[in-house]
Amino acid sequence: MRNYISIVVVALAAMFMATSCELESGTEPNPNRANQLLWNRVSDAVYQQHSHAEAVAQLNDTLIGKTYPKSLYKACELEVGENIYTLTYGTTYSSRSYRIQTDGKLLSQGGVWHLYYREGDYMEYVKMGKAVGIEGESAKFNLFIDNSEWGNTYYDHHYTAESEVEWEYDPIHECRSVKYNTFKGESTDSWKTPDYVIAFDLVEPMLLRSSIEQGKVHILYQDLVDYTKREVMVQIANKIVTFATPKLE
Amino acid sequence: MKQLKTTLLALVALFVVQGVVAQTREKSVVRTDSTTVITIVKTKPQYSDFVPKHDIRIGVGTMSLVTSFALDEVGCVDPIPNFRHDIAVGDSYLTPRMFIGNYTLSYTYQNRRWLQYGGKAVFGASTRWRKEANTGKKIENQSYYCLSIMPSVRFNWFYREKVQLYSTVSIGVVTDFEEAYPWGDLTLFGCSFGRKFFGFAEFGLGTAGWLRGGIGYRFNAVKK
Repeated sequence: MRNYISIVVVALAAMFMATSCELESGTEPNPNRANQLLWNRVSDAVYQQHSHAEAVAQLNDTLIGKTYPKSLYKACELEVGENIYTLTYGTTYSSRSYRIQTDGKLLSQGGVWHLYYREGDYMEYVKMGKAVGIEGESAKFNLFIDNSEWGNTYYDHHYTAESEVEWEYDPIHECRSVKYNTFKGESTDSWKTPDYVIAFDLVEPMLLRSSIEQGKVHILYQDLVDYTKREVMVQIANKIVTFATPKLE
Repeated sequence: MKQLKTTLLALVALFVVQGVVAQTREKSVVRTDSTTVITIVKTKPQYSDFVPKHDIRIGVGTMSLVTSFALDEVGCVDPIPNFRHDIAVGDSYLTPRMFIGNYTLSYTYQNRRWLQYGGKAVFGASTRWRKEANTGKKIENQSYYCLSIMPSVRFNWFYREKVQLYSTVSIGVVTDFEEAYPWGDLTLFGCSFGRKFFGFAEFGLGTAGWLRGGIGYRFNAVKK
């Protein structure tokens, strides 16, 4: 009898091992996955804001006669009117285009330049933000962008952001070195009633060249359905991103 | 190809016919007086020796098409990406989805050499867990289960005490514990080897998987 039971047990174990298999792979345990998702959204808003800040800086430098290597100039068109200068720029991989229209004053004279957006050729340019110069400061301005009505180019989320921008030409890297002394914003899903909001705020100034090189950002995530929150502090040093321990409420 | 088919059919026919006409010889000796001995040899067909049997089996099979719908989310459309959901589960991870096999328990009653009838139950499962990333604690069970119960009929087209070849038809109900729908199982080719305690291997279609194997036990229904 014992032999029979042994044979049955061994046979069942062999059958189990022969037929069991993996149908779908799992995911790796990553305590920072949620933090990384939040930072991806915030950094996407930062890069969007940065593309407009660079275009404003480029127009300003062009108007005051500064010249740079050709690689620094983005693909754009400049129209010179009577005290009104218009720089049209867009992305080569999207049907969207943007326009900066000055009021005839340089940023260092306190000029207020408006930023516009257009989708394809069938839409009129609509206002999406403004850059306000600071008198006496030749390379500083405040930039406000609100693309909440049209969403992001690639992702189904939109944002509003306000920043204080300072820039200079970096001859070593042959690029603009842009420093954000302040940077506040919100991001959420577009095309529907928001069910979450991400608010972000600089704790330490942020430096960008081709990518974010340093800075410290406080991110607050609020779930509007479950009424839960999540905070994370993102530290960037030498392009390396680290996260502080998140708090869940 | 035609010749091969003809040869195979001839072989099968030979086995079947041999089984049918197999005979036993029975010899008895009758003494009449001191000088005369009469030996009577009777020849009778082997089939009259057949004793009805109970047949119980347990086995396991590979994944089948019907169980893949229940256990592997085949045919399911990927959900629309949802950032809020991704954040909510961001502190957890998923274990791999594992298929543990289709397990079969069957019983049949054999009152003819060529016929068995009874029923079987097949249970299959795939397991998956969502666990916390920091502690590894289980927080959500994402396993799937599938159960089918079917009456079945088995046809033994080659019968010997120690080796049998057969085909089986089963029709019943399969459920993933949320919905139930009629389905069936077909053993196209099955082979059992052993007398009382035996093993079997099958190739078929349906809920039990396309390749199955297991062990079983058969015992006489009526004592001789």
